[in-house]
Amino acid sequence: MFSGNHKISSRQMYRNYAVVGITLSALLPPLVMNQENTGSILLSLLFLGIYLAGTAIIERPTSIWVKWICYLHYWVLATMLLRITGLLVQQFLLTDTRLWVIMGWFSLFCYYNLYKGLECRLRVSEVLFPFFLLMLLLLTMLMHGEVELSRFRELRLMLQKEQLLIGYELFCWLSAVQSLWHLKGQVHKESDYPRIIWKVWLTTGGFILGFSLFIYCIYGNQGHTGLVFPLASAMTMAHFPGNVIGRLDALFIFAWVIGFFLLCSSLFAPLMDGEPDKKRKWGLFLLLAAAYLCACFPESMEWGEAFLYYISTPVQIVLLLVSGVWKNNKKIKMTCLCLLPFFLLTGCSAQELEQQNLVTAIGVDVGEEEAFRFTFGFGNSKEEEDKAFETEAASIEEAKNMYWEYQQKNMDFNHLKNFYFSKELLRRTDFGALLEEIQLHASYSRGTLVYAVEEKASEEAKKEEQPEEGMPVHRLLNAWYNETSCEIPKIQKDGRYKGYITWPY
Amino acid sequence: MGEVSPVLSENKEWVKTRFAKCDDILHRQVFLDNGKKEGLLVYGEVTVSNLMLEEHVIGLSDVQPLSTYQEAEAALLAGNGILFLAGDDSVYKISSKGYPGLGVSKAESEKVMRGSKEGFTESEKLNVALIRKRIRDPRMKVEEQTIGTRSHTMTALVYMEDLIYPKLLDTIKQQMDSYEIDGILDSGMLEQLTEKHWLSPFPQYQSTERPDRAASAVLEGRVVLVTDHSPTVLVFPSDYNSFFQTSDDWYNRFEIATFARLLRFFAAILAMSFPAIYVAVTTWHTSLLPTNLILSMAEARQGVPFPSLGEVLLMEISFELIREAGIRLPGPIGNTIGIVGGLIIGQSAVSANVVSPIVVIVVAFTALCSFAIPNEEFASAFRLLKYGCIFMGAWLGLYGVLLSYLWVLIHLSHLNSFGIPYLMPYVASDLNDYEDERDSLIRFPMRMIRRRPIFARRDARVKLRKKG
Repeated sequence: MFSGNHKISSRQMYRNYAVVGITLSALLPPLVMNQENTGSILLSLLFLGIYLAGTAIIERPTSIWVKWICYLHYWVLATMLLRITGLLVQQFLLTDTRLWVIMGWFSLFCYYNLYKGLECRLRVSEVLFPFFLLMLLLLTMLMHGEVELSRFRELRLMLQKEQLLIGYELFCWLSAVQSLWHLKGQVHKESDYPRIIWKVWLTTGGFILGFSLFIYCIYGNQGHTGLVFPLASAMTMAHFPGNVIGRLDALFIFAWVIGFFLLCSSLFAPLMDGEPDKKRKWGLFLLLAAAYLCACFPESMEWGEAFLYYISTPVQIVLLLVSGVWKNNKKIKMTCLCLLPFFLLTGCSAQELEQQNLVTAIGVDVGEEEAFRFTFGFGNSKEEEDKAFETEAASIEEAKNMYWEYQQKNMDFNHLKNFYFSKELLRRTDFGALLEEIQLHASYSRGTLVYAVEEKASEEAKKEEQPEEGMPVHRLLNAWYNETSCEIPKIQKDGRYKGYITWPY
Repeated sequence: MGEVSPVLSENKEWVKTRFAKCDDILHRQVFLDNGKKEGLLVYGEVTVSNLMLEEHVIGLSDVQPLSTYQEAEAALLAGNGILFLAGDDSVYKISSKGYPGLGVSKAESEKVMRGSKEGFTESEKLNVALIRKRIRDPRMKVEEQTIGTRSHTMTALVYMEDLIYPKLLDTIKQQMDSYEIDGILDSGMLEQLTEKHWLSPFPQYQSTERPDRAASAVLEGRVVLVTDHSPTVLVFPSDYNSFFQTSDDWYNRFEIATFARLLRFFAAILAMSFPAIYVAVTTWHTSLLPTNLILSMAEARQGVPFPSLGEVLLMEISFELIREAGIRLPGPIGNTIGIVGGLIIGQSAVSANVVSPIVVIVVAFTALCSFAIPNEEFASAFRLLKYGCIFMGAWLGLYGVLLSYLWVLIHLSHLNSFGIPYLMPYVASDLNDYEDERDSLIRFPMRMIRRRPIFARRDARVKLRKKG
């Protein structure tokens, strides 16, 4: 009979904070990684190591003021992460659903997790950890085909002002892990705490370095530009052996959202002490509601970052140093129940299969009135009028809207296999605008194959049988961002797949 | 324990001490030889027939003299009576019919391929004897108590004295005494009254119809609650893991047992979420399926008037009706209706274009998954949660399914069964040096499971050691 003593087992604590570290590793390093920034990443890890070592030596804060200053730091971080989670889900899982609905559900479940108390929260992370890790690693491994290991040689270790700044900013985000300081007195064997700290740092460091190098080997220098979630975007190229599953990015997001859920729950937990009583539960509810409202505004990211970089992290460091030198509520349930239908009634834009047309190929030629002439091929569709759709438009999105106006059906790009670009189009300067659209929208898989067509690209897109070997659009996008060149397989005038066109010319 | 004493009062004292709190072991004073010879007859309540206990019959019985207390104890626990006589340094074993055999009944809801076929009966006395038959140790205590102001239902708490946490026994006694009720007609009523988290769909007591399962629980340091008129006994504390285990998991080889457990574990997840995943994938995440499959699914849905959510709900509810009707109808008809109803309704619904064929497959597969969970009450919890999951999948796609998983997980993490976390050993198993994990999702070879689970007292956890 040991439950209810508010003691945390070492494994629970390790798993909870390892998830925090891994989730951040999948998000942050890919955003900053390039040829010169290896130093920044190593620097941030060094800062984090020192900081965590400090928490092992120095007693956890007991003053209520210090605790609240720490909590403000976590709250700001959690609010930004709440918005990031919402954006991630919106971009990759629920494309047409409103952000506030997604974030609302997320906040509600975070609250439910925290409402049940510390023991419960840590048990949740302990159970989810193996699934999270397994899914994340498995999906990452399935991308091995796109990793160019030769890029390692391009990396340089630089430590100039820019790298120092990036390293510091990265560290500010990683300081989320520091919240384990407040649980120091609650570990089952307190002597285990330094060992946990060491393991958490090692895991976080390993994943940060791993993901940084992994992403660099995929995108190359500056390859991530314009992407909010480079790793998730890269996941569109992962394929399960035998193609028994289509695109795997949805599963990756599924695993990653688990990580964000545990991360936000850890940061929102009221100072990590004991079980929340009635007063604390209300306080927590208000704090979460405030975070949710703030996260609904895009400006919250800018303000949050500024606060994090210039105020709260320096204050946290000072606090650590100073501490070292000086030695079941019905109303809540009713509120949640009232909120539920509010979320349920909105933003559900699911579509039945018969209301969608799966686009399997897009042919793009130079338009006469608009910039591009698009031809959308619908693969094996039995309906004759659904075989293909041709229109002139300035972007794919515009063409998609036109299709809706004509057919009252939605084009689904999740099964897009091939892009056909006419040779003439590749020479045009506005081709970059098209590439940007392909880069930014998650629905276009980066594994989609690309062909250059000597004649009309539209004819190729209309064909029922589509080729399954070629160059992924990812390489074309990389070449565009990294200002290098690539070779696109060519379809000749007589329809033969022969030769390559070097792009850009 | 030594030689039997010729002094009857000493023998009486030995019986009282050795079999204290064993309410199934009775003793009575007898007078033989026209009242000249005083004796003490000790016997198991169910194992010895009343006729044999008559003083004039004892002399006619098949009697064997024994000289030590150890032999006397073994004979008694084997289902015989023992007779001490004043001034006699021998104890007499009176052979009896012994423990109830296979004839008692068969376990209907927990069938196994290997192992005992016996099941509990509706008599509390007989059920206790069935456990005693398997654990012939005076340290196994049986405490009887009546509950119900009008029904006076007999209950018995069966446990190993040296293995359980004493606090556990106090807690259950307290909980049983905390309500005054007119009648307890089945163990299920007692279960609902004494559960801590009574709003949860998940059972916090393990129920079993198998005496070998109950005996195994007693040996793990758990308590078994036997209720008169109920063929189902309650076992506590229970954890999530114990609901996935069957008796033959320990009788079969570890590879097979592990495979079966993994299968059941994933079956439980799918029993809850497979229809929801179908709805989510077809309405939100078509990208997850290979193009050819999604195209053929789209084709199959042509002409179906309902959205995916509607057709899944329609088929799920039809299936529940078939199941309910199958239980209520008499034996042979009940069995037939499941197959006939499923086939006819499924086939007709597809022919009439009310549902697409793939939905019939999804619902049938989900039903199979729910039947793979060994404990019916536990499986019912997943069956119920499935509906919430379906709605969430329809509203928010895989994100909704994920939120449903999280809800269930948070709820399970919050549950405790008599202070033991419900999710043991998947959580906090380092508190028992990860020993519990050896008999969880993966069943280690028998010789590697050396310790009892966390239910047993900390100083009494070793259950297997090599001799010599």
